[in-house]
Amino acid sequence: MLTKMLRLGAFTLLPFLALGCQSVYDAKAAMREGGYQRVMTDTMDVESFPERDQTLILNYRAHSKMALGYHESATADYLRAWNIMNHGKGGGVAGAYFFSERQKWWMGDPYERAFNSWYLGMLYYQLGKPEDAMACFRNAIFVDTGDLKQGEYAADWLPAFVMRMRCFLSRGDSASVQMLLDEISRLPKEQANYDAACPWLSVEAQKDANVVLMLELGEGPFFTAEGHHGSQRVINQGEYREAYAEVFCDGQSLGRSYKIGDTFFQAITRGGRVMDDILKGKAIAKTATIATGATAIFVGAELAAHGHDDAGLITAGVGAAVLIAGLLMNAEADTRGNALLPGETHLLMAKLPPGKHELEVRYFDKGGSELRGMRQQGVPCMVPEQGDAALVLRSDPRYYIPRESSLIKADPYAHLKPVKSK
Amino acid sequence: MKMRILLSFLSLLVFASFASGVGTGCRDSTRVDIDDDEVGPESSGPYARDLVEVTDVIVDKLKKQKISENFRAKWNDAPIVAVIRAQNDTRFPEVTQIFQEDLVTAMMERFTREQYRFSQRDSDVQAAVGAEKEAKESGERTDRTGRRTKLGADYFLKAKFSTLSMTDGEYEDDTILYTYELIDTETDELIFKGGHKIRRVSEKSAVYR
Repeated sequence: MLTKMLRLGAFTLLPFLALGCQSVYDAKAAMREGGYQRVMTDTMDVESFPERDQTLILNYRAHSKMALGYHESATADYLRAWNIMNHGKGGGVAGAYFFSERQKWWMGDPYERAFNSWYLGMLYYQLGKPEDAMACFRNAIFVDTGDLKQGEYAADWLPAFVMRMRCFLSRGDSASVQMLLDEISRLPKEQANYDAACPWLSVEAQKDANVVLMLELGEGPFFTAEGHHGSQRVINQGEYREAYAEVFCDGQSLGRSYKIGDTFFQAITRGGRVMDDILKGKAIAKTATIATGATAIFVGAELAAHGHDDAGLITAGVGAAVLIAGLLMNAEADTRGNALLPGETHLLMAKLPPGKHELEVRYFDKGGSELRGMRQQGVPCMVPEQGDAALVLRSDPRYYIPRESSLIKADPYAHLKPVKSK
Repeated sequence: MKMRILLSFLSLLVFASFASGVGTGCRDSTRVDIDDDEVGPESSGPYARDLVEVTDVIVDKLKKQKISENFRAKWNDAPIVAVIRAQNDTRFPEVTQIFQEDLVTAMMERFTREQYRFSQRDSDVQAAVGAEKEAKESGERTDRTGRRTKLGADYFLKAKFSTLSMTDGEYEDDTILYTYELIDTETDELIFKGGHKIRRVSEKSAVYR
């Protein structure tokens, strides 16, 4: 009878098991193997990924397109992800209470949502849509703000503030720039978060500059599941050597960069999650359930061995059910996160004559030694007669700033699509 | 008997070990195509129907204040209106483009060319028109006398979106104020100004964090 019960249970659950599951896409491994091109190719068909991971995949795809110069296509992907991350209600929460937390749709931590909005804003800004950019920078600040009445975290990631200032300046609104600067001046001067010596945190400096370089250094934080049944989500700092950059234009140094955002600092200062307590409870329940189930099976087996067949079977059956429930319960923390984000965001502003320029960016470690392998030359910078040139550049020679508008508007997958015969 | 129970117990353990992998199982797709704004995700922020409401209010204002009739009485011609790109101070991108397109389309559908004329001021169109004019003036392209001057607007129609956004982590609360104004381009006189306020609150699942 016990065997029958087991067979029945196994056959009932087999289809469930057979569904299988893809593991979350390893963007870091893809970057090591083939850089942004590999990531963009791998993520071409977003629908082929589990729905719960698609928002993360969209962010990866957008990031890789942006890094290869396909700005319009990247904007569309970031906007699609933005809509899910800001308007979507998500899904898979009920399943996450019992099974893995990874059942939930990935919606991103506050800093990941801020980055999504910020990248979208930067792309809008570069594409000449300052009003849309303004909205994105404002949202980047909004999603990075907790319940202030409860004393939770306030937005303190400066890249969104700086770019908002640029938008206000494009309207000729210096008063609003000053308002944002006042907000920044009220932030704690945490060296881990930003370098308070940054010389461009004044209205005059903002008005004087017509080149804004957002330089992204190193690798952002990543999550690991540790502790009891992996129920504790640990935030780890990414490893990188670059500490600052120096930019040259036509052989002349424009100066060094200053840190205005630290992604690890953002990740660890956004408070605990509601899910952390749930996972903790699940880990305790899992251990207790497995122990109870195993004990019941042992007792049932002993009863059966001593001639109490019926009582033994019932006890073992109940024990088996409890044991299965315990084993099925998954207390492991969700370790999904945007692995393509930088470790730090640096700012360098300058004033250059309108026209075409070529920049050279050199990266240095903490000791001031140049990291020659990262040097980027011939970075195009088109300074307009009015307004400014705003660039995002990563400390990765594979990161490409487009010089041709045809690339900005191009479909990155056009060469992979079959040509229709007339 | 003992052996059978032991075997059963072992197979149970093997089965359960495999079964625990289900914890990372896929869920069925719940995606649905959205044809109507009404069935879209409930969230804070502007909806397409809000923009239509504001457009309706602006068109009504133009009619009620008899802007076209008064202008025609004075100049015997339809006034030329340039819709200035709306200023977006909300946290929602893409609102301005949709609003502007929607507003111009609605006005062109509801008014005849004898009532209002509209000047296209989009930067890409301005660049194309400028290049075309240069080509005509250089003789590279044909032209027609009297059609060389770009339309000078009699009125600017300007809109601005502002928002007061708050969150407690569980709810997102956005009060969006749509303001609009009609400005006489000769005198900078404010012909009319109005506002339309919409409040939206959406619940965020706290378990996402």
